[in-house]
Amino acid sequence: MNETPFLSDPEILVLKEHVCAALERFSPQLLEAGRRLLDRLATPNWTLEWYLPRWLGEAFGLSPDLIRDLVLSNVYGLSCIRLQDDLVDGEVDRASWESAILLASALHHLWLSGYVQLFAGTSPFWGYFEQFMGQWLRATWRSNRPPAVDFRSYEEEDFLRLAERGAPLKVCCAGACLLAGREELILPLTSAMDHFLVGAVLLDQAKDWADDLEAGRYNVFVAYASPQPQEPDRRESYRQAVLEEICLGQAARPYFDRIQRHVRIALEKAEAVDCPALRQHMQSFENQVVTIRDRLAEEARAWLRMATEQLFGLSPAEVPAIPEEGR
Amino acid sequence: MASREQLERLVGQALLDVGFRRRLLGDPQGAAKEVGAHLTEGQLDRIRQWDAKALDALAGPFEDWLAWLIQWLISHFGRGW
Repeated sequence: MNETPFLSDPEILVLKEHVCAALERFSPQLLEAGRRLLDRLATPNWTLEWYLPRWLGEAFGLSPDLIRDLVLSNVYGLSCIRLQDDLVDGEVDRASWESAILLASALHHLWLSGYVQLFAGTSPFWGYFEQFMGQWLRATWRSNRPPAVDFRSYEEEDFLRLAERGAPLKVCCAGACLLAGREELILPLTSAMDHFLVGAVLLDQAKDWADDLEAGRYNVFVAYASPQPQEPDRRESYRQAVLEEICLGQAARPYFDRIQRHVRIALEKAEAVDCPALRQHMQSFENQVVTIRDRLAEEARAWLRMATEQLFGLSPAEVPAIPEEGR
Repeated sequence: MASREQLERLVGQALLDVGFRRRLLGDPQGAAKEVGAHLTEGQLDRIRQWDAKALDALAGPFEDWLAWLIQWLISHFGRGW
């Protein structure tokens, strides 16, 4: 999964051209903004958004045409959601607001048009659609606000709430199951996705902690390292708490173990759906998390050992290599 | 005698916490006590030779490297989720 050559994958290129052609028909002025958005999304971190409907469709034996329609609808929908997330998070500069809002509207229209072709108005699909969009709306509303509960008091439902911003991804799960006549799989599959998304969100938060802290955004990894409420004028103490946890504490092992736990639950639940590509993707993610967890502890310890040997004039022990970029 | 692990903790704390760094340079044994260590005369001599400015100059890049490390590891090993 790590090696997916997104930008040169013929399937992705065809999909991108489909989307661009639709945008051009709908509103030619938005074509360039649409192309830029698709280029930003054609990265390995968007593997599920591009491939999940295909993996499910193939596992369920759907026709190539149905699979393509499912994939396209998913790309429209998640591109639209991404734009709206960027707007809510303040990541779109003022000069681009107009094109971002109009592009999101066009993509939303294309998203719904795609599903209208696939599902009758009486189909249970629309109930699932509303349910998942409701989760996303609520999660987006509260996303940059500190939660009422401290990280160390998080219950299972608090972790699952973290996944709700990825809820639109579950729309294609419900769609694929319904098209295959396998509605009984929607619950285990979407529950698996919930747990997988918890893991993905937690890892994203660990990656973004310094930027979020700088921008004054609530961050779960910071909350893990520092139980105090996150207030803008105490950024330095939160930064120190994170660095102490990495260097002198547990190197965030409990945090990464939590991610692994959710991925394992996701794998268990996904067993109900015989979808080898999805299982492989989840296993690959788990391996990545374990590698990151172990390397973080090793690298931090190795640097500290080296500094201690130099400062105290101790004989050097075997010191593992530190990535060149970090020196 | 402070063990290697205790010395590592002492150094880590000194690099990450400027207040502790000052206390360590001013009263090494007292600061070592804070992390549960007892320093030998040889270890105290080493600390007395430390240059406060050089230690300050090491602390900033160390913090930046730690902050960068987790981001780099996740970008490098965590592809495609």
